[in-house]
Amino acid sequence: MPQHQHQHRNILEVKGITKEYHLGKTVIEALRGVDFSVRPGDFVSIVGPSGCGKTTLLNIIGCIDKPTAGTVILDGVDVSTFDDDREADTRLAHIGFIFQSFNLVGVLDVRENIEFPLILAKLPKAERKARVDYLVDLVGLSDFVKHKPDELSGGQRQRVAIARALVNKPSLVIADEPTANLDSATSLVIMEAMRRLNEEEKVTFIFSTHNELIERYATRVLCIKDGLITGERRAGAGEVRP
Amino acid sequence: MIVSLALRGAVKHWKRSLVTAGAVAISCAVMLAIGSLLNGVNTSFLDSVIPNSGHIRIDGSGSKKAVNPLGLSSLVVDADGVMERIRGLQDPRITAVEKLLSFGAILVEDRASADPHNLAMRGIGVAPDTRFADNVRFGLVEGSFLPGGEGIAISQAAARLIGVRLGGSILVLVQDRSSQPWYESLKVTGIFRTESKDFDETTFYMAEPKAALMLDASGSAREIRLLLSKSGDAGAVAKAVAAVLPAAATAGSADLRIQTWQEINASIVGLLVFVNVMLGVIVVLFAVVAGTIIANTTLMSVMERLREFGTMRALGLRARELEKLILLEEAFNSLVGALFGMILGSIVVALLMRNGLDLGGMMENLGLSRYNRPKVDVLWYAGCAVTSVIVCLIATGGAARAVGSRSVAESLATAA
Ligand SMILES: Nc1ncnc2c1ncn2[C@@H]1O[C@H](COP(=O)(O)OP(=O)(O)OP(=O)(O)O)[C@@H](O)[C@H]1O
Ligand SMILES: [Mg+2]
Repeated sequence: MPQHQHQHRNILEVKGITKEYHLGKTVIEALRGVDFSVRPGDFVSIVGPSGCGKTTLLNIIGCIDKPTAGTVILDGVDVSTFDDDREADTRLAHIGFIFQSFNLVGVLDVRENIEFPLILAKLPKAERKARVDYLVDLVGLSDFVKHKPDELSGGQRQRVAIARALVNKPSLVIADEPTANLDSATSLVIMEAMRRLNEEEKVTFIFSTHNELIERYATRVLCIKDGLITGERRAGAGEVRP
Repeated sequence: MIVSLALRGAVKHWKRSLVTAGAVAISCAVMLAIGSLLNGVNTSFLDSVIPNSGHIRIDGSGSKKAVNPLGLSSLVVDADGVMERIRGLQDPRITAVEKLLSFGAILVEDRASADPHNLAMRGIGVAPDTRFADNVRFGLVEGSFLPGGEGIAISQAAARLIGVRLGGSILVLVQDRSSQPWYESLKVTGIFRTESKDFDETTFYMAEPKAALMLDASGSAREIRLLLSKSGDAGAVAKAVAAVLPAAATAGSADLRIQTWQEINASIVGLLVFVNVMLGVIVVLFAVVAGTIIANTTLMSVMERLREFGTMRALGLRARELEKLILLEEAFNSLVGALFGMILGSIVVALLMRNGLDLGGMMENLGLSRYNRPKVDVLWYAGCAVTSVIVCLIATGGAARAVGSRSVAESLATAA
């Protein structure tokens, strides 16, 4: 199932992004002019020391935070000036989120958690069912659809989150330290799942991590330091990818 | 699913839901109990006051200054003429026009005895088929009310004091209009007991034509009473009646005084308004306290769940929809609360109904019943439930907006 028609175009263009936080009189420059773009099918990792601005950058790309300056062009549209509602609609239609601590809705079971964005998108019931069935199968949770999040392991929860992130067929899936709350074995399983989705379903991922083992799954690695991109490594043939 | 999500949220956070529902329940119950009590007081007021005054009363203005309220100098002389004019109005709001003749009398045991028992009382002559004197007509314990315009109706207490039984006879002593003494022997045809001991010991009833004859006051009356189909019409009808009455002055009935029930009972009405306002204030206070409790509980609760809400927002839920979701959850809680409140309130009301609430002698002094029984009103029930739900939603609104307006990034960054 191809996710994107415009293979020629950038999914994401980030231009001159800065972000300042004002804490009383002190100004924290979390981002100090970030430029990069993401093409369909990219598997981008953002790495850097703690406090370098990874979360800030991903939040801005994901339309849940606004840059102080600069533009974010998502699927050809400048989203940096959107109001709150249009941001919400953009997140719903174009972006999938995977969180560090899974962030599943506790009162909903696996199926309902995955279905949630489809309900926001007002999809008819039959289509919702087909799509959720397809995704639970894809992440290997068909036997757990009736389980509540607290009845699942961390790895299973994150797989639910992955399915939820993909359910609306987003252009871009953003994952802020998706494996930070998982043990190393489970982390690799999750990264394998993401890589498979990237290769087979052409899902575009952008994720942040501290972990070098995890970082190696990416096809592109952006290094950030003190709010600036300091370099990029591309996966050569088998050089970055394990 | 949004509805089910809200429902499940309410169940999951049941402790906090319980606080909210409890606050709603208590304020709803208080509203119900106080409202029913008020309704009871107001209704019993109308029930006990209207039969004593009618909705509109017309009497001689001299009676205001009269030293003896039962004296015969301040009667409405041409009562029949006045009634004729009122009937001539053919006003559909007027359901009854009656004249009453009250007078002072001494009731004496009708038995050959050296020292017969006697009692000074107030006699009231009314039409045997009167629409007034409810307390007596419905308080009969023996006999009937002036059957065929014959006899006399006295209270159990008076009968005991005089020493007479149903069917026995009593001498009624009066002074007629020319101050001539007159007496007549009347058969006791009805014995009654009202809620007021005072009334019972001082009042007896007989047929108006007979009383008028005894007093040599035929065609006159102490007062003329009007009964209306709606209490609220009293002012307007009084005006209409006043407009046709001045002409009666030529018939010798000058200086008529027309009063509505509100004017006659001005002091009680004033007190009642005061009681209504006070209880209203109590209800509002309860609502405010409940609202504050709910507002705080909800705010605390939603702040604890900020990350959950932030996640939903990140997934594409609009701020408005999130606020709706929170309000919906609160609506469930308040509906449950309102339901329990109605049950709780009904229990309180039922208890009050069984025993009556002792409002003390003060009420009696005002001519009202000492024991107040609440009166239930379906509309009021619905009103209480709706009001408490609305209070809850208003109280929740602030918390919902606080969450909705918070930035998604910030919400997500909070600890779970
Ligand atoms: N809401 C905020 N208010 C003030 N300063 C903030 C806020 N969020 C982030 N910062 C600051 O901005 C800088 C970048 O933070 P950010 O969370 O993006 O870093 P990070 O790379 O994600 O770190 P980590 O690896 O620890 O998650 C840090 O110095 C941080 O203290
Ligand atoms: Mg971070």
